Amino acid sequence: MVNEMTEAGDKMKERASAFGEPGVVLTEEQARSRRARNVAIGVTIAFLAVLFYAVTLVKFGAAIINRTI
Amino acid sequence: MSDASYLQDDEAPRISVASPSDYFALLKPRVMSLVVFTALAGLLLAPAPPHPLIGFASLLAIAVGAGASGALNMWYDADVDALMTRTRKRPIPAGRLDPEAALGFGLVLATLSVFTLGYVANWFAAALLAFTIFFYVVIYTMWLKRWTPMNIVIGGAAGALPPMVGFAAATGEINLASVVLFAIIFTWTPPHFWSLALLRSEDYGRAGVPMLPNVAGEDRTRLEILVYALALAPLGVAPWLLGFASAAYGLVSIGCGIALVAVAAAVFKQREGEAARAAARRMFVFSILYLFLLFLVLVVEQTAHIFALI
Repeated sequence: MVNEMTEAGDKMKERASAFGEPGVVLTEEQARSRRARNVAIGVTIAFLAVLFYAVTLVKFGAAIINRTI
Repeated sequence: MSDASYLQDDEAPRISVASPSDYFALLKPRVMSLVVFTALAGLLLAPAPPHPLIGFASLLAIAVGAGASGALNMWYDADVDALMTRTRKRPIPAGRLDPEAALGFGLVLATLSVFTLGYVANWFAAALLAFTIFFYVVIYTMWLKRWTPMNIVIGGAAGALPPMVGFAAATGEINLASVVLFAIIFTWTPPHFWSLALLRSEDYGRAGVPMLPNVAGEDRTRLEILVYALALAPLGVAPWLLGFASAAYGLVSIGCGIALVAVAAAVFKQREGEAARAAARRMFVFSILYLFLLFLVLVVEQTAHIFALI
């Protein structure tokens, strides 16, 4: 999956350079802040997934194992 | 700036350099901490406190709702913030964050917080949280703030609602105790912000925000601060008089109430020069301490009560 995305990115850059243009190149500051934002979003989503899972378990209580098989 | 220099300036993509801390600053963390604290007091007043995880998730949702209000406030008030010394370093006026990003961030968080509270607690509490966000953003920020010197008197309701939301999250209803906590914060808000307005009246004047000192004058503001302090001091004792706080709370609230009136009286008397500014600064700081101590005692004794039940 990651390899496919990297390949797609490389192809886009190749296509851009075919027109004599570099494509969008991030400055170091832009890349750094984007990475930090991505990490923050990832951590937040992971935390929310765990929280919602745990809250659901608590709300169901013992009934969570009381189901027909 | 981007290296995409081959594009014309007006079509170049704007690539953000905002850090997560800029987004966090949009949430007004200091206001958020006060909201969490007062909502916790409301939540703990419930006759049967919720499961700790449900309580934690409810407080988190309330905190995020408060943060969303802050982000939407900063989006709308970016023009005013840029003119004031106190706020010009906020992420939008400082140019670190686009207003559109703050708007999107605030709307997403507002929606997320309301639906999360509805799921983890109940939909009555969620509706109350949605109303709180609406009141702060639309009624206070968009309407009252730039229109009337009574902006923080009426708008203070938004900041006073969290204990009611906390109680509603735990019980699905509101009661007299939660209304009393609302009334305490509601009455506390004007003297707190007017003492700040006395110190920052030039700032507010430059930004065109009609705060009481700019519209009615500093002497009238000092009188209003004293009147509100006189109303707040007995109101602060009400939780003990009504029987939902202990005698220890009663003692703390009486002592703090007397001190608050004394500090407000000093603001009323000292009208010139550095002594006047020092009195206003003392009022601003002490009003924070006053509210913190009252709610701290409530939180501590309710927590002790819950542990005694266990």
